[in-house]
Formats: sequence, C-alpha cells, structure tokens
Amino acid sequence: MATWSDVTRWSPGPLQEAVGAINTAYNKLVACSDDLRDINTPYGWHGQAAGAAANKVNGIIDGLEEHAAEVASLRRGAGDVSDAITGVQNGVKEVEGLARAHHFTLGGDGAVIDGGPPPDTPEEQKHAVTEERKRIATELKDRVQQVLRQAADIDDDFCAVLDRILAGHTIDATSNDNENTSLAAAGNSGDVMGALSVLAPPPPDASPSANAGWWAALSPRQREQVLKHLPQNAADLGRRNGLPGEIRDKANRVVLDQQRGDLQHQRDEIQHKLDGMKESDPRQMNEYHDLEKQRDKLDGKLSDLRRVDEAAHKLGGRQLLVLDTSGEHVKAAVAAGNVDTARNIVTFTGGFGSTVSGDLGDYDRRMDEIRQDADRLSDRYGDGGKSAAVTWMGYDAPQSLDVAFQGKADQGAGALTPFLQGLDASRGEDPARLVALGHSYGSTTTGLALRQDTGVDAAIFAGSPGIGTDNLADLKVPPGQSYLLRNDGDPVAGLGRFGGNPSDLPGMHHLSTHHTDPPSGQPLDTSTGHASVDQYLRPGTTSQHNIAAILANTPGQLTLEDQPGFQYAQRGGR
Amino acid sequence: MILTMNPARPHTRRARWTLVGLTIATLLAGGCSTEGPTVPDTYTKLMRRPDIDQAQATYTEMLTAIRDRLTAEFGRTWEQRGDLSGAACLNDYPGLNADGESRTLPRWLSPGNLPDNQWARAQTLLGEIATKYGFQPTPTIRVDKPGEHDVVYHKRDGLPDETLLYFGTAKNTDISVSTGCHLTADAHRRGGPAPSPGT
Repeated sequence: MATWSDVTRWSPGPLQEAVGAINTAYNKLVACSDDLRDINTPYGWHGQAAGAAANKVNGIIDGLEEHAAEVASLRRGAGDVSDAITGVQNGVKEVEGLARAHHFTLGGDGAVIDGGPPPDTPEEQKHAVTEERKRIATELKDRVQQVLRQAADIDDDFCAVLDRILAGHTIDATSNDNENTSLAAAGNSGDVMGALSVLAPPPPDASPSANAGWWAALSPRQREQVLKHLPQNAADLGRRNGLPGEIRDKANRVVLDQQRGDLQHQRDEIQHKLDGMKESDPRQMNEYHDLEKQRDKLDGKLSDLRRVDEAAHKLGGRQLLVLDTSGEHVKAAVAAGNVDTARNIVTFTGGFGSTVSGDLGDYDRRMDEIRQDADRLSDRYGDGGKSAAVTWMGYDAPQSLDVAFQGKADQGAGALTPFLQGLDASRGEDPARLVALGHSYGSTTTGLALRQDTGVDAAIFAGSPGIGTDNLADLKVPPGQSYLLRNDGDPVAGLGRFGGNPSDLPGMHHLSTHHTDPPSGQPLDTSTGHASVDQYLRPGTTSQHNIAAILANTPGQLTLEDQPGFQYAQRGGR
Repeated sequence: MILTMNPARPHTRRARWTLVGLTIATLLAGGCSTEGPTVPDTYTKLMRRPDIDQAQATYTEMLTAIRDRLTAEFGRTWEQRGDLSGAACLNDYPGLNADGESRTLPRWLSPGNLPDNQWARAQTLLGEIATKYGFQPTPTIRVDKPGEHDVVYHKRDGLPDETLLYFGTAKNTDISVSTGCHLTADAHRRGGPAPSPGT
C-alpha cells in the first residue's frame, strides 16, 4: 500500500508518455484486421490440412484479438491512472499548503506533526491559537486519509487491470466469430476493462474536511464523472458539508426538482383519496381529517419549496447550499455571491418564528444588500475583495413556546457548526474570512455553534437573548472578534435568557446602532426595536453598515460603542 | 433517610417556564408584526411603475450617460465591479412572491480618488443627468470631507419608488443604482396575481 511519502512523489508524466507509445503499438496492431479476415477464408481449400490451417489461423486471430484487448486495456488503465494522479497531486498540494500555512509538517507515513504555535503568539491569544491548531490538525489528518484512500483505490484498480492482462483474462476471444474479425472491437472491449473506478465518497456522516479532502483528491475528469451520476447522487452530494458551493448548488437544484415532484405526487394522491370520501360520514371522519392534515403539511412544504426556487433563481446568481425537506419545515441555505471565490463570507441565522416561506426572500434580499455594501466598502477603503452572504435556514427555528428553551438552538448549532466548518474546509489553501451573524434566537444558535472550532473569524450577535455562555472564552472565535448589536427599545436583547446578558460579557465589542457620523464614512440612521429585516439589517442604519464593515474587513469604517479602556479580556483565565 | 417528593414543584417549574416562554414569544412576535398594504393595493401601486426590465434599461442608460459625461469632463476610466443582481421585494409589498423584484445594477468603479477640486462639478453634472430620469437634482450628502465624498440621489416627490443612485469617492470612485420594487414584465402585463393557485 502506498505511503504518504510515496504519493508525494507520484507524477502523471511517465504514464502519460507510456500512453503515447502504447497507442502507437495498438494502432499498428488494429491495422492487421483486414489481413486476418482474408487469411481466415482461403477460397476453395478443403480437407484435413485446410481444417488444421483454419484452426491455426483461428488460434492466431483469437490471440491477436486478446492481445489487442490487452493493449487497449493497458492504454486505458495507464491513461486513467495518469489522470487520477493529478487528483492525488492536487490533494497533496492542498495538504502541504495547509500544513505550511499553519506551521505543521507531515511524516513519511502521513502523520501530522505539530510545530507548535508561532513563537510570537501573544499570551492572551495562546489558548485560542492552540484550540484552532487542534482543528487544523484534524483537518490535515482527514485530508491525508482521503489522499491515501484515493492512492490505494488507484493502486487496487490498476493492479486488477494489470493482473487481468498478465493472466490473459482481459477478454475471451475464442467464442466469437472469426469470419468478421475486428481487432478494434476487441480493443474496445479491452478499453472498457481498463477503466478505473472513481473513488467513492467517504461515509455519509464524514466530517466536512473529509468531504473536502475527497473532492480535492479527485481529478477534474473524475469530478465530471461524479456529476454525471446526478440525479441519483444529488441528495448525497447536496448535503455534504465541505464540498464546493458550486457542486452543492448543482446537486441541491436537482433535489429541489425531485422533491417538488415527489411532494406534489403525494399531495395529489391524498387529494384523490379525499375526493372519494365524505367528511360527514362518521365512519370516515377521522381518516378524512388525518388526510386533510397531511395534505396541509405537504402544501406548506410545497410553498416552502416555491420560495426556495424563487430565491435560487434570482438574478446575479445564488448558490443553493442546503435543501432538506425531511423535518417539520423545509430547511435551506442560499448564498448571494460565490462562496467558492469570495474573499469574505457571512452566514446569517434567523431566530424565532423564521420560516422559509415567510422569511427566505426578505433575508436573502438583506444579505444581497450587505454583500454589495461590503463590496463597495472594500473597493473604497479596503483591499477590493468580494463578499458572499449566506442566508442559513438550516434548522427548525422555534415557532412557539419552545423559544423559551435552548433545545432548538442546540439542535440548530448541531447543523450550523458543520456547515461553517464546511465553508472553511471547502476553500482548502485559500480560506475566506468567515463571519457568523445571528439575530435573536438565531444568535443563541450561532453562539452555541461557535463553541466548536469552525474557522469563523468574527461573530456578530444582534438582538441577542443570550449566546449560550457567560464567558467569551467558550467561543472558538479569535479574541476581540465577537461583536454585539443591541437596538434601543429591543426588549429581547436584554433578556439574558441563555447564558446571561451578552451586553455584560467582558471582551464583547459593542457596535453602535445609533445615528452616527463615523470617523470616515456616511451618517447613518438609528435602528430600534427587535426586528431583523426592518431594523438591524436595514440599509442606511449604523447597524447594517457595521455588519457590512466587519464582513469587508474594513475596521476603520466600524462605529463602536465600547466603554473607554475596553480591552479583550476573558474571564476564567484560560 | 426517606426521600420524599414535593408534587407541587414540577408543576410550579413548568408554569414558570411557560410564563417565560409566553413573555419571550410575545416580545419576539411583537417585534415582527406590522400592519401593511393588501395584495390588490400592491399590484395597483406597482402598475404605475414600469416593469423591472424597463426600469433596469432606463437606469442602465442613465449610468452610461453619467460615465460618459464624467469621462469627457475629467478623463475618468471605468470598470464594472459588480454583477446585475435581483432580490425579492420586501413584505412592504405583500403577496408578490415571484411577481415582484428589485435589482442592483452592476456597479461601476473608476480607479483612484476624484480630486476635491473636481467633486462639486462632478456632483452637479450627475444631478443634471439624474433629474432627467426622475431623481431629485440635489442628493443627500453622506460624507463630505477632504478626499472623501459620498452622496445618494433619491427619486422626486410623486415618484417615490425607493430607487437610489449612489456616487462616492475615497480610494476609488464609484457609481451604482439599486432599484425599488417593480413587477416583472409578465406580472405587469397581467396586472394582478397569477390565476393559478400559489402561496
């Protein structure tokens, strides 16, 4: 089995050259087809000698057919291996780049060796840096494993091709009709036998970095082959955190069509049954009402899917990163901008009462505005990098009294964490600046999600009833990069229901939501009350401007209301 | 020791959490509910505006005229920075779903700062062109300081359709337009909600 040390030396070049030589040999061989057909039918020659000669000729023909198949099989196998090795090389490159960027090295067996945090790491950041290094080490291990899995798969497949050739088992030419000999046909059969399989994805519950590592280790041609299996593998690809946004989008759009068809079919069947029943019949009454409920539920999901479809088809392009109809409500995530290329990405999580039907369109609009404002800020004051903004509705947000409890936020965090990790892992050596934004109960969900390492570079909590902790050190967010937005007249923001009042957390930056004249920027309006779309996210407000400035990474454009002497400080002294 | 249970305690706890839940739910719901226009009102209002494709064509023409003028006057060069982007109309326009759309036109960036001694003239030129497209001649000034200017032009009274024309300069100079809510061409032809059932 190939070791890490081996695969780092793999190169497609020798096999690519070999394919050329094998092809030349193959073409010469196939050109003999006409001659073989002529010698196989010597006109007017009968008798024992003729029979013996015919047998001999048949043996030669069968042998040449098998030889043609073997040469073609070798040519195909060598070509496929050289192609697949480009995937291995890409996987190795991403692993080595990631390791280098974070001061890790790799042993010859693929072991990840931690070189320790950079020596100039400030004392107050050492804990956070150490935690982040654990995530990077895990990601490196996952990626190494995927590269080695790809290498083993290539090795196994190519060995099988070579074994068949050596054993003379590529094809059996003895049973075919030698009157119509075609070495090219034999070659075609051999070609099929020489094809390599495409490495199967890791298990469905694989980590985002394993999924990213799998994709990185496939060659471009193998990726095309994976996509050729749509729609069969659409649901699987669409839900894999860590795959590029473009791929998840392609897959989820297929899932969208599938689900709309399936749910509509189910709805029609129920309606058909209802049409044949009488609600007033006491014997059918219960069943009738049950069916009505099922139909209404399906209507709700179909309505959700229509809203998803509308958002996914907005001008300028959207990426449908999540689509899941399995739960009580449809879950979805839609990106404005391109998460595969954006320099900065914000993920917005809504709160109480948010549903795809009711809110996706509005949220998406606000996210599109924020990413465009961030682009404008970046051009005017920053590095010109582009942003993307994701509306993440990937959890069952509370719709009633469950808002008083943390259960839905815990469940949501369980989905948001890998989503964020996936955004980070999918970028490999070129990570985007990741910002997690949560409003209301969505800020609780966001806070809980950030207790795991996600690669998030900054967090913004708007109108927050609590972020699940009273100690910022519990969040895996770089020190000094947690921000709070609290409007005047927002009764929820002061509740402190989940982990205490976030306004009181040492180290939490307080962003202004008031009318302001920033040191270098436009006068902005006050936002008031608890609403997200109409207040915290409204263009022209200090609140929305601050969100865009954090996304664009233009700190000079931020308007803070930190107390004098503010400094990042963590309670607990970890 | 004999452990005894207080039967009242779980009930009290549940009652307390329920109260907390009711309070939070009321507070949260209160932040979201608003009285708004009806669906027929929305279509009636939007039928007075051009459809979104016409609006886009008009403002694209305006941006071209502005760029040409600033190029002729100050020798500016331009590059497209953003893409055409569409988004839903907000809940101020209820019941539209796919029938309504607002668009952000591609943003145009002119590399470098527009010098202070050219800013006032540029703003006047912009206003002259923008008024032909229904904008107020004088913009709202958002930033006006040495080396940094930022203004936004609104539509004239009687034409309040939330369309905004942005113009600003700092490290670079840019102009852009975001439209208000307009009906799609199909919905405009129809003049009301589609007959097929849709939610």
